[in-house]
Amino acid sequence: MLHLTAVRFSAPIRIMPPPAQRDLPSLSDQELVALAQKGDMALFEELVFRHRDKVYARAYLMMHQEDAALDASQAAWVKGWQRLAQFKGDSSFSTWMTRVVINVCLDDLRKQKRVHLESIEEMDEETGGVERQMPVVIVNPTEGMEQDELRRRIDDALDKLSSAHRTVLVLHEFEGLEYKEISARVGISIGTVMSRLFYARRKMATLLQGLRKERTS
Amino acid sequence: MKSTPNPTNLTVQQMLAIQADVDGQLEPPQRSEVRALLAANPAGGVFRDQISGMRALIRRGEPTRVVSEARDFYWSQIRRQIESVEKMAVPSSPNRRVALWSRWLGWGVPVLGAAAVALVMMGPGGRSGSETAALIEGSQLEASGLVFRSEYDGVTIHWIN
Repeated sequence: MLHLTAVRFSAPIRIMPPPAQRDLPSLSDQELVALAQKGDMALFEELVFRHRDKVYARAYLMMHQEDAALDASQAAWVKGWQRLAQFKGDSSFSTWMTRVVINVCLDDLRKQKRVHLESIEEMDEETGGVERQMPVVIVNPTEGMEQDELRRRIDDALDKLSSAHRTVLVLHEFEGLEYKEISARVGISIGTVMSRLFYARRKMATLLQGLRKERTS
Repeated sequence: MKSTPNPTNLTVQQMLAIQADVDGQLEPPQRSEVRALLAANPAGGVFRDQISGMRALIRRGEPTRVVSEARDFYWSQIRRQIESVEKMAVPSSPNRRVALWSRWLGWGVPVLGAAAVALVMMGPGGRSGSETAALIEGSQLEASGLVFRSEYDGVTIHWIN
């Protein structure tokens, strides 16, 4: 026996023109997300195009390796597409995507940590072994550094931090996460978050002061 | 000449507490403790200013990066990964499983059913039709009933006590 099921549409069907005929740059992120959530990959591509540099930059801050950062950024976009339906617009799409890429990077770093042991220096710092050997220095933020130069020097200094210290610093300073959020995401105690952040800042201060001395000499 | 208070006179715990205050991570009671410490120890204020300065400097200089790959190439790699993941996900999707079961019920069950009937009819030793009739009769008798089946006439009679 053939069973027929009646289907009712609650809203009129709107047929979107093909991507080539749409003025994508004029659409806001929210509009693009809302349409992409219905499965239109061309609209998602536009979102990738708009935010790829920011997502890649955040991945690079975490990984500090170009290839690893590129892989992580692409993996984040794949996850972004898969989880797009979960995006409710509580934050901006850009913020949501940086959280996605941070999670991808943390997963990658956890995998790496399985094979690479933390450095002895880090273990000493965790137990308070070297805190007196690295004096806190003052860097005057307004003293002669242009924005681009400051960025480059901070990038260089971040490169010299251990992965553990850089991760906590990036999550707090750039991602704006609270101590307890970092603790939960990284899987360390709040005390360790505080300690790593403290030593990361001290080392950054030392590195930036050294760079400033080089520049003035 | 007045010397600048030295932050290294602070304990690590005091430094961490001041840092947490600068980061806005303390509850009101802890914040009051830190304020009391800052009032009592000038080195605390120096350390607080150092941490605040570093914090502002790092935030102001957040490094930026640009994807060096061309838009089309970068996107094509992402799209390929999405398609690959979706292809892998298809066999485990509920709709796919229902479709496989429907197909199985469509032809698998009748074929297996026919095979089972053939096995019963033939038996392990290749019994004849009349022997099968007798066997059926015997088993039914134990259950206080009688079944007679004639292959020749194509008739089965059930007699229930």
